[in-house]
Amino acid sequence: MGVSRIAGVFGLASVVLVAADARAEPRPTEGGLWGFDPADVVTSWEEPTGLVRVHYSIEGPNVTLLTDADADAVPDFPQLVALTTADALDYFTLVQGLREPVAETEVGVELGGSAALDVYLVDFGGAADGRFGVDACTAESGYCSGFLTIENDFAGYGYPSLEDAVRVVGSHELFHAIQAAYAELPIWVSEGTATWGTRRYDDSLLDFINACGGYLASPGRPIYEPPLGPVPVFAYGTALWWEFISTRAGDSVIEELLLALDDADGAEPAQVVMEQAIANAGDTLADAWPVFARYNLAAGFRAGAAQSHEYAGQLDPIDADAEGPTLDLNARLYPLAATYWRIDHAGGALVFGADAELPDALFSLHPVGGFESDGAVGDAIAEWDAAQAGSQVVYEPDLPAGGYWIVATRPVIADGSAQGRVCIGSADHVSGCGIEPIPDNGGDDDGSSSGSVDETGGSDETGAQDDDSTGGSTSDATGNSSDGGAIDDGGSGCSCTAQDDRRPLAGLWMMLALVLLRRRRNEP
Amino acid sequence: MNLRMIERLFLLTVLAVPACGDDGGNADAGDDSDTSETTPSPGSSGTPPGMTSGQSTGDETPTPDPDTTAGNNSDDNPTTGTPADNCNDQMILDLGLVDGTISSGDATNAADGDDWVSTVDATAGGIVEAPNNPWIYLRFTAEGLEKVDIDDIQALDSTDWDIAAKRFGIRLNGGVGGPSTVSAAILDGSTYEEITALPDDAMMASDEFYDADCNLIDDGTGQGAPNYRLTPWWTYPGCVATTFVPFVLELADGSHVKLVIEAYYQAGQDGCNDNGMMGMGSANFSWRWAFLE
Repeated sequence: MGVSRIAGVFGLASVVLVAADARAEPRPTEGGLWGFDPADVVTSWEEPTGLVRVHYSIEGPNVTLLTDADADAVPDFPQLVALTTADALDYFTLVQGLREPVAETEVGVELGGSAALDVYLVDFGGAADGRFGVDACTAESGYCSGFLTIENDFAGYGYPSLEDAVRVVGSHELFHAIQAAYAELPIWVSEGTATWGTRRYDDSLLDFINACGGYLASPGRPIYEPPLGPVPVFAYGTALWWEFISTRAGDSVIEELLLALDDADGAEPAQVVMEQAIANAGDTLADAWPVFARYNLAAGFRAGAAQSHEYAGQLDPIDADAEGPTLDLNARLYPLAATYWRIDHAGGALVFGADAELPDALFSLHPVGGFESDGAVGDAIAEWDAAQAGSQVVYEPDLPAGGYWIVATRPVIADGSAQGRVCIGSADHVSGCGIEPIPDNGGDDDGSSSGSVDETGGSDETGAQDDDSTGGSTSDATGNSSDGGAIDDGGSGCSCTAQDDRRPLAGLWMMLALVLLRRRRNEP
Repeated sequence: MNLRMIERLFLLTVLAVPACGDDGGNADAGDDSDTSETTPSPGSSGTPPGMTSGQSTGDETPTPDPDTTAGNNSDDNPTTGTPADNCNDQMILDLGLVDGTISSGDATNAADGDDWVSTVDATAGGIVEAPNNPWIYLRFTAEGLEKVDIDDIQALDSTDWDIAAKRFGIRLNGGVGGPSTVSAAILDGSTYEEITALPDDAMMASDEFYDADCNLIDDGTGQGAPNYRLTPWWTYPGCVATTFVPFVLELADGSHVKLVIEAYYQAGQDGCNDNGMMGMGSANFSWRWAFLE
């Protein structure tokens, strides 16, 4: 199947946006990219509610599965497709509250023999397993009506069952039909939310988990900039974000997004619209994004100790962008992305240095369980920013030797990356990079802050300064603020405050706290 | 409306696996199968947008078009007039540049008369994994085409390489493509064999696939792929066919190399060129080239 013909479809799809009431592409019964063969004997069946009609071949190159176990004179597989699609349609419209696909009559066509949503079963020959095709769009709103095409028998596709295949492909393509009732979407939204839709429709299907790897392989790129090229697995993988944000802010955030994209009508980039939709749902992108990035660290074999996705253990682990006993690197931090560094810390105070301001960047430090080099990671024990060039102690006085992860994010929508040389390790190492400590600001909030996160629930009342720039906190890692261990600037440039958003003590962090406590008690 | 939606179809087309499959549909990520990865016909070998070129004098440095040369003004290099950082920030994303990893591909050479026939492994881990794998960097030498062992980020500041490849993309170390001054002329009115010297009317131009605001200038094939200077080497009759359009490259030292891309597939290029049948072993190039006197 020639890609050139696909490009032809692209062209038609674009044209339809400005050529309302014109047919965008033929139905499979009329030919086209994936259509029935003249030798096919095509018939159809409409499920009882009249929402979905399936068209299938009973003889010819695109013949479908003809088994009719219930002997009702209609093959079971087309019935399964129609009933599943209708079921998914009910779910998306009645449960999720999304719009119905645009009716043919709204765009001035009447195709497929009835007003039902038409689904065609054709042989994709392994080249695809489904698609949503456009008939036409309304001139005013740009809403589009179309049809679904689904693989005719899924032979050789490797799905665990025909039922799974139909539930995955049917719900995914149906979601595209629903999207077409809102707005034109960039691929990272259209494929990501369609994969999300399938997840919501049936969370037992593995399609979502499989797709997430496409994002987790490249978390360092802005979520709204999938790679160029023919295989946009990243775009499908953004389902991980949609699942995260809808779990956090409620499923309505997806509807909010689609509505907002409809309202924006292309006047704003989708990521800007997304930020507003998240706000409308009562959350903020700035709050959610760093949490998302940290959840993604605690995934795969690193899951289990920190707060993360419910399904974190099933996900692919991210790769470190840099790792070693100390780090000296040229950081390039993109917006709405995440960069992960792992350090085999020799023990002692951990110092972070940047030779340039890294605007909007937010960093967090996560210990590896059992002080191993890598493995299950804990929740953040320190957070800081780099609003000023220079070095800062991000955790003091001591950290046990072992593996630690640093998560770097920029939870903003911005043009371009924040760049600078970053050194992490001992004070000597960072000094060796030529990065000088951030001047002591006497506790004034200069925008740079660092400090340990109080995971114990204890608050630091020992001179905390108000720092609203990052939410960084500096309470005693042991949870005991009265033993003199509370953070002070110590000339490191830390302006430290207690963090409001305290989280439950993770087991792994408890382990670290106990070690720190033990060490402190042993101090002379 | 449907433009992006259809790309899922495209994904499946190129993967030839069920992308939504519960079998780990994307598990064929490393599969370097001979499925297609390009949309049709990169177009004619005409002058790409942003090109300002003229007849080469042999050692002339190509002159970027001041109106169209991409770059962030803050990064402009005042000594050359060429953006020091060009559109690197965007190029890292668009070209899938990878930090810290050198291509595992290699180049081999065989002498054929006055020509070198070089094979270039630009597979980059296969179609699916290519965004996360590096380009292969190469330089033309009297001993053949040599791989330069640098990663993508190092290459942004390196003049050690002349040309780089990843899947069907071939980029020059010049213009927005790199910090050197390599440029090329597209000689689609000639055959490779006919070229014995740089034609007087050769239009030299470097890669200029970003506009002044670092917006990508695509090749018009529907995928948003960059409009590389050497894009006319291929067309798409259902597979990646070689056009045998010859190029003359001007290297940083002023020397000239004539080049033709003979094959994209390890096997089956003729079948693709003649009948549109997919070859085997995609992104395993065969390049024929020679220094011009």
